[in-house]
Amino acid sequence: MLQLTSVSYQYRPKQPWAINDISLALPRGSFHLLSGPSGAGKTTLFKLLTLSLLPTKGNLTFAGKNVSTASRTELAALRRKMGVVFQDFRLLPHLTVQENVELPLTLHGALTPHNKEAVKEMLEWVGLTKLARKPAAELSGGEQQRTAIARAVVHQPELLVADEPTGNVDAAMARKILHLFTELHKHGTTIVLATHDTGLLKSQHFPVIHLENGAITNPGESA
Amino acid sequence: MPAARALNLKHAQVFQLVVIITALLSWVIALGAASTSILQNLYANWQLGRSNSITLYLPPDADAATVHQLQQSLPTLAGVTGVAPVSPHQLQEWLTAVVPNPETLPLPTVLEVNLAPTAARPQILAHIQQTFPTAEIDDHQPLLAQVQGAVRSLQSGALLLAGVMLTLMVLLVALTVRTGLAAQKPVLHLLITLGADDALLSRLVTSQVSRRVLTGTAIGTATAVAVTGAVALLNPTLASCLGANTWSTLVLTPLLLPIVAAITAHLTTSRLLRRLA
Repeated sequence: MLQLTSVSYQYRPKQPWAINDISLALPRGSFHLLSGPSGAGKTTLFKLLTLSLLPTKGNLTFAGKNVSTASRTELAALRRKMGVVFQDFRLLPHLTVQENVELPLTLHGALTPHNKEAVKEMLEWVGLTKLARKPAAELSGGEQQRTAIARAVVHQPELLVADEPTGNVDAAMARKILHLFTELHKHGTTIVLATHDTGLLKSQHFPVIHLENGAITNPGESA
Repeated sequence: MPAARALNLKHAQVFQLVVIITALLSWVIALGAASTSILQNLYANWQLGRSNSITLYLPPDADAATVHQLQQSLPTLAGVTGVAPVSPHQLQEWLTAVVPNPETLPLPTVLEVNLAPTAARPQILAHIQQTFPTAEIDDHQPLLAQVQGAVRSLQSGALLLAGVMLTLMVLLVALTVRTGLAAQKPVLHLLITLGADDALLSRLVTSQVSRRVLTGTAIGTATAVAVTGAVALLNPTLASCLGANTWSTLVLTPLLLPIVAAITAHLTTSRLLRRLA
């Protein structure tokens, strides 16, 4: 599904490498946890995985396509196969909860009546049905997080990349979110979940990619 | 949900001004184009009356028999459609404006010679000079050529003005798109991450800009039509020069603005998106 071969990333020439010679394979249907201290390169790797950045060196292949040689249209098509949960949610504050969740479908030209039903079901699942018409700007942190998660999975992505998706919700909602992710995983979605939550890291049996100083410290477990 | 709500350019202050500035530009461009058309019609009307005639001034002491001979011989020439003497009464009326007591003056014989458009002028002029060497010939053709040159200059000026207006439109739209997208950079990044491609983003921007420019154009054009109509009501000479071509020029020329705006918005967005990568 996603393969990184000797990938390095540098924000500007002569600056230190934010990601240094990482090789990583995320087979279709796998579930990986991504951990590491602040400044380890998690955010840069997250951006590489979501194709927001392209490698300075090395190859990143997603769905059989080398992203460095892909055209802008091809990159957009590859991004449509992904769902992304940002740590800071990145909801559009002037849109309602429902409009935010519908956004990927709108952008993909796939907001069919059938998919509108899927949006309603998704909102019900994350417990936001009553808030569907409320502007995102008026939501609490937890509500925003749930909206962001619903937006990331509403179009049934092949790869879901989530940055601290349980960071702002209570324990019950965190369990529910993890349950959703494991359900998606069972249905074949490839998942990468970045987290600081040591409890979560210990409680799950999924392989962990541990980053430090821009490099993977446990390559045997991840590559 | 219309995707345009996600990427809304209205956060850029200059975007708020697009309607007003476009209305002004389209008003100027519409009136400029209409003036060109009016000028063309005015010239055409005047030319029709003038180009097909020659005025002959024969001295007051001219021999009546020679004058008669000229009057009789001219219509026999190819291209001459008629010869009409101007009455002494009419001449006195003309002179009253410039000379006091014109009835006391010896009056020349004035002949209006009407010509077909295909008339061979050199031969006709040669015949007049041969028959009546002292005749003063007032041929309007050289004056018409001069006036036509002036009309062409004014039309070139109007064209230049239209060019300036279109350039201003290009600059306005480029500035609007640049500032609009700069203000929306995080949203733009989000939409790209969520799978929006360049074509979609460009469409979102172009449609918003086009809607505003179309509104401004409609307002500017409607105002220009109203102003032209009002002036025509007050000025019958101007009204006589307003033809279907004037109204169509007035309404259609400003439509260049939305076309130019849409192309500029599309090109500017595409360029900015490529730079963003």
